[in-house]
Amino acid sequence: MGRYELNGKVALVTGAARGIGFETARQLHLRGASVAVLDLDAEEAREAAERIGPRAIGLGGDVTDAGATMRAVAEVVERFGGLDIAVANAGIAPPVASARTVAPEQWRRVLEINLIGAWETARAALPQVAERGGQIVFIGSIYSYSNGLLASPYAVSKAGVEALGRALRAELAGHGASASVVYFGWVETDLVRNSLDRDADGFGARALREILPGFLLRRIAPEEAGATIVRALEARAPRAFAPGVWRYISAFRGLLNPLLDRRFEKDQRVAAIVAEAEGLASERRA
Amino acid sequence: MPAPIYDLNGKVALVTGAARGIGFETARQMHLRGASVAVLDLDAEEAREAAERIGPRAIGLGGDVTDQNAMLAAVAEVVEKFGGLDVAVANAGIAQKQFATVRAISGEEWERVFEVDLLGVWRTVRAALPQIVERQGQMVVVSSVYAFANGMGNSPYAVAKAGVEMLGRGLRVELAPHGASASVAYFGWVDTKLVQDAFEQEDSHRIRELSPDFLLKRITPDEAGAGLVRGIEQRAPRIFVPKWWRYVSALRGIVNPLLDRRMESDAKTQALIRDLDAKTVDAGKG
Repeated sequence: MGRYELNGKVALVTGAARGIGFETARQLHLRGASVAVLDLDAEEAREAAERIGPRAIGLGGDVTDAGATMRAVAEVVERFGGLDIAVANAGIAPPVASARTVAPEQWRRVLEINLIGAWETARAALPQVAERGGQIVFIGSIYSYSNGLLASPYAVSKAGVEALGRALRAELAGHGASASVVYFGWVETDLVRNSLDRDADGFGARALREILPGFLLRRIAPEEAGATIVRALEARAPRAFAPGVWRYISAFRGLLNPLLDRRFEKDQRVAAIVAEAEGLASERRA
Repeated sequence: MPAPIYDLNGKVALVTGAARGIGFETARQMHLRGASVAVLDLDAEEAREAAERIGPRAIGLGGDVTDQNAMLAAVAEVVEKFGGLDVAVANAGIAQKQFATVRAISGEEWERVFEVDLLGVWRTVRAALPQIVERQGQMVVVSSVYAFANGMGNSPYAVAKAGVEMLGRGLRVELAPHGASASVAYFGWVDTKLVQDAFEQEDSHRIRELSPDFLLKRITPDEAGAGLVRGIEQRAPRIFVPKWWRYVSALRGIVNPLLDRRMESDAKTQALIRDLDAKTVDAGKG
């Protein structure tokens, strides 16, 4: 398959006022695409669009609201004449907590935004994307396949997003359109900093250092994450990984996961981290 | 076969979606091992009839897994009746009314499957966990081979089951310090009402034709229940019925990219998707 030329295309990126979404929109614009920056806060979305350049517009909208995603797509079509690419990037992470102690509203909220939001974005964009042989990008995560201990709603949502992206790719092939799943490790975004560094004196970051080897903790810049998405689009790649080491872990997931899961289960340091997380959660409730 | 490490005799179990199929067989066979069982189903009358067929230490409860309060009430009733709860099997699940692409399925249908199959499991987990932890019991979540097989034409089910697997894996690590455990059960095609209905849909033979015969072998609910009960007796992290799906799962990271790619280029698969796309969209119009 030839390279997918981004010049002259129209892209919609959700959660694009900052972080990975912003970088994706900015780099798509650099390649000659017109971009719509969608974010919860319309004002922030417009400011981001201004920073990106002349072929960028900002839109306010909540991805969990089917009406809002439909309206956003309609507005993009009206403004730019169509929609070729949708990047379902909007996502949140919960504070570190066990499935037993996480607040149910919080669990639900993460699923709503990360998974239902991606589904609503895809559904709103599909008529245009199918018609124009375009692309939909889903943001998976290493949590699409790594053990989701203390990150239950996030991992559940990202496993679901992966399944959605794979099914959709098979379904779109006949239209000359495609879907991709891009898996990120740790990216220096507000999402990662809030859940790992800022919450509870950096408990999340400390917990990860106990659980994972150092080479799996490397953080990448949002620029690098955005560049990965742009490259995946240009190649119509079924999947892309950043950092790249996670591709190999994914390939061996079926063999590695049972072994790693078992190790986590038996590891006393992991047990201590779980106990500490459950203690923190009950303090939060109190 | 290894000797059981968890004796079901004298334990108390709750099984959701247990008026028939895998749930019923699981409840019946745990009762045969000496457990007291609560049969939960949407229809209280059917649940009570099923409990009567099972035996003297069985009660039937009506309850909807999409209602958190109903699940909390069910657990409270089990505790009141039997003095506690040791094993909860989150089995209740539904399938799409008919195979449909992401593009063609209605939003309500997609979310209905998701509500029952993923959020229903989550609500069951949340309601049961305090007892399970206190009594060092077991939480069993029923996933499917769709947790790793491509969900083409069946996306909400695949998305939900991928999420259920992830929930169960994380939970197992989090429960280990408490001396409790979680298991994920993966069934292939079991001869239940869910699968019979799916196989009777007009396009289902075409979907089945895409798979090798050995993958399509249907097992009886009795075999599925027996597999589940053996898994509970072993506190097994993963329970596969038929067993050889274990090997498909182990190789998923390598095999899935290849199979997914084949689906994109396979003429039969793509012809089927075209029809699924067109038909459901037409039905929507009419």
